[in-house]
This record gives sequence, C-alpha cells and structure tokens, in this order.
Amino acid sequence: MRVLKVVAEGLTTSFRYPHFMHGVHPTFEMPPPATIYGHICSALGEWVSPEGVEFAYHFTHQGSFDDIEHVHVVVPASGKLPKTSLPKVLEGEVNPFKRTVLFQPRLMLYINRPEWEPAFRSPRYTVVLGRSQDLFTYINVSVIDLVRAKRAYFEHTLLPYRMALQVAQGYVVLMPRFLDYAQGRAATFARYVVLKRRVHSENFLQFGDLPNDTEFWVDPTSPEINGAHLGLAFHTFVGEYNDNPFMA
Amino acid sequence: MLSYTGHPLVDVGIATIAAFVKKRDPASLTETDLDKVADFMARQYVVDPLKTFLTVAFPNSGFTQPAFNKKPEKRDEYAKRVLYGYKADTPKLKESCVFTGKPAVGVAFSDKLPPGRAFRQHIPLITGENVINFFPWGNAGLLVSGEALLAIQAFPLGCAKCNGRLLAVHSDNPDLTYEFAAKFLEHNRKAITLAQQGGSKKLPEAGASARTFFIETLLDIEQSRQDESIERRPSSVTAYHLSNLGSTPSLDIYHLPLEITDFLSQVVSPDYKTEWNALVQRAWWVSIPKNKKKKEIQEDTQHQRNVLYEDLLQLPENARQFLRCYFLRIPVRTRFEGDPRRTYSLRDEANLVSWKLTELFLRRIMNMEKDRIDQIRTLADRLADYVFEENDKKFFAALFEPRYDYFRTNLIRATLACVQKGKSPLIKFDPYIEIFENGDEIARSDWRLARDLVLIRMVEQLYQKGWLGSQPEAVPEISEELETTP
Repeated sequence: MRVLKVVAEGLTTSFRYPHFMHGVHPTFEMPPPATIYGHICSALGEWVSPEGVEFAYHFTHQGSFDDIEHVHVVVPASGKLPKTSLPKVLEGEVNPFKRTVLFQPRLMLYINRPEWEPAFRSPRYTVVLGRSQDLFTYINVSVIDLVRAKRAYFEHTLLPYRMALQVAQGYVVLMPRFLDYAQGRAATFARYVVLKRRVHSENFLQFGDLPNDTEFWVDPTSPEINGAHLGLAFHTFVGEYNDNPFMA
Repeated sequence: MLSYTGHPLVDVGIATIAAFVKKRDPASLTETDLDKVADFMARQYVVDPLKTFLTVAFPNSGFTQPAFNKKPEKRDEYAKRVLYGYKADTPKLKESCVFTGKPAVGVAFSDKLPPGRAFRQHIPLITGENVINFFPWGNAGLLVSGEALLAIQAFPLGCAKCNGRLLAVHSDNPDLTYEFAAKFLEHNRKAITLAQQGGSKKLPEAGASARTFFIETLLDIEQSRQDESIERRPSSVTAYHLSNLGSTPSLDIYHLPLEITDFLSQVVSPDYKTEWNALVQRAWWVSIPKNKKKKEIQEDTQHQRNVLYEDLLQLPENARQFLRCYFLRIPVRTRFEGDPRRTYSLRDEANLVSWKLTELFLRRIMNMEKDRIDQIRTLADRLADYVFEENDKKFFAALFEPRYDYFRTNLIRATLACVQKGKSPLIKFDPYIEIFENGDEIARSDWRLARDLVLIRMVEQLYQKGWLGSQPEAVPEISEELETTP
C-alpha cells in the first residue's frame, strides 16, 4: 500500500470536546478524525471529497497544561456602532476560559493518497493543527510503501472501537468523525480507543471471530522493536463504521 | 425507545431513566416509562432539595430561576416544554438532534428562544442564549430531540454530588454506565426523601472526594458483579466532575483505561481481596483540622480521600512510583500532614508487602512479560534464601542503595562470598544481565524498577520466614529518593 507520510511538529495544540463550550475547554489527547480531515483540506486548499480517503497516525506530545484564554463571547446585535452610521452586527464581552493545551505535539500522518504529496510540500493555507494559533511545521513529507506483517506494535494512536477488547489497553472516547460542510457542518461522531502505550500484536487477545493469520499494515521505515514495526490502524471519515467490538 | 449515543451526559441520563423504571435495556423503555420519569422530574425539580441542587447543572433554567419562585405556574410550564418532547404528538423539526440524529423537537424552551435549540440552562457547559461562538455558521444553540433533552434533564439524578459538583460516570460498557447511574439515583432518591422529611433545602454531599468516590463506587460495583458471578468484560470508564454554575463552570475528566479497570476487577476477587484491602485501609487521608477536639477530628476524618484510589487515576503513566509507594511501602515526600504516604514504612509494614498483588500489577498495568517477572522472582527468592541462611543484614540493607554501581558491587561480593564457602553462585550471569543491564556494566534504564521488584519479593519471603519480624532493624529507614539517572 503506497501512502503519503507527513511528519509535522508544533509548539502547542488543543482539540476541544465539541459539547463542552463554556468556561472550560478540555482537550482530547489525540486529534479527532474531523480535525485530520480539516487539516488535509487546509493543505489541499479545498474541501475534498472524504469518500475513500483513509488515514492513520502516530501522535505524541510532551505534556499538557491549562491556559487561561480570553474568549470574545459574541451575540448578534442591532443598531449602529457608536458615533457612526455603520450597522452593528455583533457585540460581546471578553471572558476567561480555561483551555487545556498539549505541549510540543508531533504527528506522523499516513494518508492513502500519495498523489497529494505536492500539496503537502506546498500547502495552500497556513499549516495548523487544532486551533488557528497552533502553528505546525511539516518536518518531512514522503511517499512510502507500507507492508503487511503478522507482527506489529501499536502506540500513540487512535484505534477503531472494534479493537478495544482485543487490545485491552487505552480508553474509549466519542470523537467527531466528520463535519459535513455541505450540510451546515453537521457532525457525525464515532467511538475510538485512545492508545498511548505500546502494545505488541502478539499480546492482542484472540477472539473467535478473528482469524489467527491476521496481518497489519506496518511502516517499514519505523523503528524495529522486538522484531516488529509500527502498526497502522486506518480510519475513514464517512461510510460504514463497524462499532461492534471483537468478542470472545 | 432510547439507545445509548456515546455522549457521556446523554448516556448517563438514559441510564438514569432506565434505572428509574428498573429496565436495564433502554431499547425496552416505553413512552409510559418516560412519562413516569418526566412526571417525577416535573414534581421534584420545582421544589427543594432538587431545585437547589439543579443550579449546579441548569443555572437560570425554569426549574431554578429565582424570578419564578413566586410563579409556580411558570415552573410547570417550563417543565412541560423541556421534559415531554419525546411524546409522539410533539411537533418535530426537519433538522436533526446533534446527539441522537433523531428529528429535533419542534418546541421552544422559552418564549424568547427558537424551537429545538438548547442553551446552557438546558444542557450543562454549552453556551448561553444567543452566543454564536462554537456553533457552525453562527447558529446559536444545540439542536436536540425530545428524547435527548429528557435524558439530559434526568442526568443530574444519576450523578453523585461531590464537592458541590456533579460526578457522572460513563463507560463504553452500558452495564457499567447503568450500574453507576442506578447507584447514584438510588442514593439521591433516598436523600431527597430524607431532606424533604427533615425540611432541608440541600442534598447531602457524597462522603468522599470525587476521585475517591469514583473509584470506591467502581470497586463496589465490581464486587457486586463478582459476588453475583456476572460475566464481565474489560471496559474503559470515564468520570466527569462538573459544575455549570454561574461564572465558575468547571470540568475535570478522569479516564480509567481498560487495563486499570481490568486490574480493579481482579483485586476484588477472593485471590487478592485481603492484600488489596489492607493497602486501601492504610491509604485514607487523615485531615487534622485545627482547633477541634479529638472526637470531632475523628468524625471529620472518616473516609474522605483515599490516596491509593486517587493515584490509580495517574496510571499507567505513574506506575513505577505507584509500585514503589504502595507495594514497597516507600514513603512519599509531601508537605501535607494528613497524607498517609508520608508515614509509610517498610520496616513497620512488611506484612503489607505482597508479591502476588505486585505480579498482577506488573502483568495488567505495566505489561511486563511473564518471563521477565519469573526471572525477577527467581532471583529474589535466591537472594532471600541467602539473607535468611547467612543472616546477612548488611547485604540486605545494601540492596536499597540507590546507586547502581554500589548495588552491583554488593551483589558480586555476596556471590563471591557464596562461592568461597563452596556454595553455588548467588546470581548467574545471564539472568542478571537480562534483569539489570543493557550491556557491559551499563544499567538498564529500568534497573531501579527491577531492584524494587526484587526487594518486594525478598521482603515478602523474609517476612514469611519470620526473619524480618524478628529483626525489623534489618530494613533501613528509607526516605523517598528523587529519580536520578542510573
């Protein structure tokens, strides 16, 4: 499988839980798929069709902290701006919000679209991940061939919820999977496993409906650890999402 | 009629509704069931103690709005708007609920608001009326269905009241979400009755801090499931400790990953329960308020914080420190007088050291390979036998040495001494290298962990042999050392 591999680093990032808005903004520890979609579209400069696009990633940060931000909380307004005849459309006030921020994030993003390499070498919009002020730098952009392997290790990544019991590590979160800009940014959500620690595939629990000869996509350019390379769990933005965990 | 959405507040609300009518599966709920819950809320949310309690979840809602205090009909009207939107004859919008995907309810929650759109007084921690931040295209408010809104209104009933905030617990395993909500609901209903009988305006607080109460309740649930032989599967559990109150909203999120919940389900089993409970008992925070008599102090200090429980929430990242503190009984430097970890002492608490529990921790939390665990245990047993047979207190004390070169030299000396006495070597080359070194005299980055594990096993063995009990001075007084490079 030929993929585009993008390595990006930044100083800070934050991925707000969508339904916690007022006063406190906790962050997901990994970028939600919807954030990755926005990031890809930013590099390409257009809202590309999400159909058939698959991605996997390895994401790390060096810690988190809470920042007090001044958020301009605005509401629609009418009347005129003071001492002008200009219409006033918005008014608001500055409120302190507590935002959790991840420090020194690093993303290794794999996308099944090697043809997008030129776009990531010369991104259309400012490279950010998270909020607009969370500037990122592409450290490396390359096209590589992933290989299938019976052994792999998974770490610092998002796994489909289906793998939760199999991996038996990490915690489950509901994340925005896709924001449909054609439909008023209607959001779809899905459950994922946030896996921070390294788990080798030979330690996966084996269940009845899982074939023993399971193979994984691995990045052959990743560090080899105990004879295995970094495994990649690919996600989609739209289409069917199998939410039934592997069970005994 | 209802189904879980994955969203914590909605799901806890759904579980609460299900628990209210004692039907575990939300799909089996009928409109009549929802009527029972909505009627209860319509009756109770407009009077104390819930009216006061709800300010934490829905400040300025029709339930809590002080301006409505003398207008009960306004409260009833509000209750009708927000609680009964699930009914089949309720108008629906073409737009979808953000939580359930069902049509949003075609009812406005006040005369000033657009239909179907909820704000901070209806759903905790979203924005207030008209605020356009964080909504697509500046369309203020979240679109909700009648079912989702009912669930969110029910959600506080399925929470514990801790430190003036709501503690909600959600899991990817619906059974656990249900168990937590059912427990908290039952407690709240009793507390409501007691408060009303006693003329109190407030619901009592949970008897422990949020983090302690979270773990304590989870262990209670696991114990019940264990006792009832209910089949369990590893689940991830997340607690949300939140307040939507006024200008000081707050939210703390505590994740318990699958490996931790799996560990906790094991420690309540008969195999580990005794050892685990002994550690728990020594981990309760002792608060020492000033200017209080001894009796009052005793009442105050009853089970408020358990540092063992709360440190579980730092796992697996903090596993080494956890193991050292709780399994090897090394005290922790802290400025808080009531922190029980300050007084931990291997010399006095060797009876609490359990290899069995440590081994479970290594396997479940630290992902340590069985072979490595076995190698460490074998080495520790050999060293314990040597210390016991030779009564070599000096050697035993030297094993606590924080510097690797001293530690290594000490082992080599003891081994030479054994060989000179015609005995087999104390340590063998290959296992030693595998446990402690990366290369020639280069310590593994985790040599200190391996050393602690060897000590845990040795202490347990020497205590069982009676050697430590008869001469506790053999254990050096250890103060928590700072982590340094080997």
